[in-house]
Amino acid sequence: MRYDKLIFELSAPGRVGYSLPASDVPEKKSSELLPGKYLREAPPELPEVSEFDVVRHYTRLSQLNYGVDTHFYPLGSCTMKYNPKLNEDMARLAGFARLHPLTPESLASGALKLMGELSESLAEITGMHTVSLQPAAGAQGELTGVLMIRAYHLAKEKRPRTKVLIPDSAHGTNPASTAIAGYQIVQLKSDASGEVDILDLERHLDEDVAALMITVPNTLGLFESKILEITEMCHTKGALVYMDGANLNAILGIARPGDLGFDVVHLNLHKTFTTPHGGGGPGAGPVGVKAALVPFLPVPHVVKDDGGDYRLDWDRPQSIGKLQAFWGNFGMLARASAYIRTMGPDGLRAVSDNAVLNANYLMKRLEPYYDLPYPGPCMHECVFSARRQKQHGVSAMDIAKRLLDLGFYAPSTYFPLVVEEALMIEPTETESKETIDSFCDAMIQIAKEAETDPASILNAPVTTPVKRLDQTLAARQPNLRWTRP
Amino acid sequence: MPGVRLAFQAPFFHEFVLQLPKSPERVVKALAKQKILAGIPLKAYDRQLKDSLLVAVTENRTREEIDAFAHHLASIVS
Repeated sequence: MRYDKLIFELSAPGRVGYSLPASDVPEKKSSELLPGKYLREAPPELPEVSEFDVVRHYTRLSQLNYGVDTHFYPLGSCTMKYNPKLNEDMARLAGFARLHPLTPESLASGALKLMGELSESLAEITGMHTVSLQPAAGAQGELTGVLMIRAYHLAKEKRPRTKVLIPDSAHGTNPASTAIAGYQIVQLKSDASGEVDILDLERHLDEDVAALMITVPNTLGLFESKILEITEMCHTKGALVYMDGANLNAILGIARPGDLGFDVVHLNLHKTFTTPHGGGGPGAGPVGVKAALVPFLPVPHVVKDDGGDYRLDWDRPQSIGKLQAFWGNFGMLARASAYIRTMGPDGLRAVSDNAVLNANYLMKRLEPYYDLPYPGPCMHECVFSARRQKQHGVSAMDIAKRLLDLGFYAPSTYFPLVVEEALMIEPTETESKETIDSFCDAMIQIAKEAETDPASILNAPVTTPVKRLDQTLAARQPNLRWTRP
Repeated sequence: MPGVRLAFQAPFFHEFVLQLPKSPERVVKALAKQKILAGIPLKAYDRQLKDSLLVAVTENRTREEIDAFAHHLASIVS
């Protein structure tokens, strides 16, 4: 039977799961130490459970989840690759895991060195001048980048300019971050091959444009073949070019954003650099910039002093300021650093070679069964359309649900927006041929079922802990309260 | 402890602020040599608190450790 208990339902009065050592300092009642108005009249209603209850409860809950450690997880644009357990060991070293962020710098030189060296490695990987490790997520990286672009124009031209150009295939966070930074968004069309429409770019590119924000490879899994021309066109008008680095897993060691003419790039350490991604984070979205933008980097910035030691630099008068508490999601920085050091330059290049190879293999196997609106070769992911299946009443959503019954997590669906009934599949480099073949077999089975037995798809999923949910109702009226029976 | 006093007289929860007769930054540095992280100098947050140190011993420290902290602090500020 499906396990559906809440920890509160396991509670039994008086049961405890902890023991405190005897106090070795004189004891006083809390009423002698604190004014009565600050003290509870009744104890909080916390669950009273044993240690064994807690272990069993959360283990069973964890078994209800699909995760990258349990299943193939081809969620496009999310790079759900294996997270090496070595990273976990490194991040748990006591000198990292138990270090207080406000420890004096002289006593935290190891952590500062890790941050400084990671920043240097990411700068080398991206071809940028400097990388800030502050942003806690990809979207915060975007906001950081756009705020720096704003500060750059303000310093240079005494005006921030007014517009940012964003292709219609962009991640939804791009226009959101840009609007928060105070810019008007102008949407650029994709051309018939799925790349930026150069004529549309030319039409909109004027001296009010602060930046073009573009994802490379784009969300259709395609490399923008005219990217050098695009970055040059922007620079001619004094506009900067921002690269959304969410898809960097396709180009490690192959192409560097800095060499392609980008001025700003954010990376998702929780995608390309294997920090855990499944539970909603914490993420890490470092931002790399060219030299002209260095004065505007957030504070504090990790710098190397003349003696070779790393320290936090707060004295940056043109900085956009501080983005979050402390110095970035340090645990994620430690994991990404372990990954980069484990892989080395050749290993990172092999990551992208294999990510691209896997995606193209998968694309070729599925191409006879699903429409491919923008033909490959693709980079690290491919985007199919379920419009053929839709003629039989089977949507991309239905296919995604059926996959769950067949033992696979679903691809991204209905994204990018430029593809009708989109199924965006990213196998990553860490999956074996056997796993990719099994997934393809399942997708082919579903394509056949769509023609012969669509009802079996429309009822899916039947094997998961919960069936089809009213996601809109769940998002708008979440029921998060439990009341004691 | 001579020269050391509580900065605020209101009741406190899990941490408290000490006013020190010597620079808190120097005191923290000196205590670090005894392998004690003494607390957070508050000058960076409010210049009026330039002589203040925020101390949190937590439930993890034993009486012996707390006494050692007090002992070393006394000798540093004396």
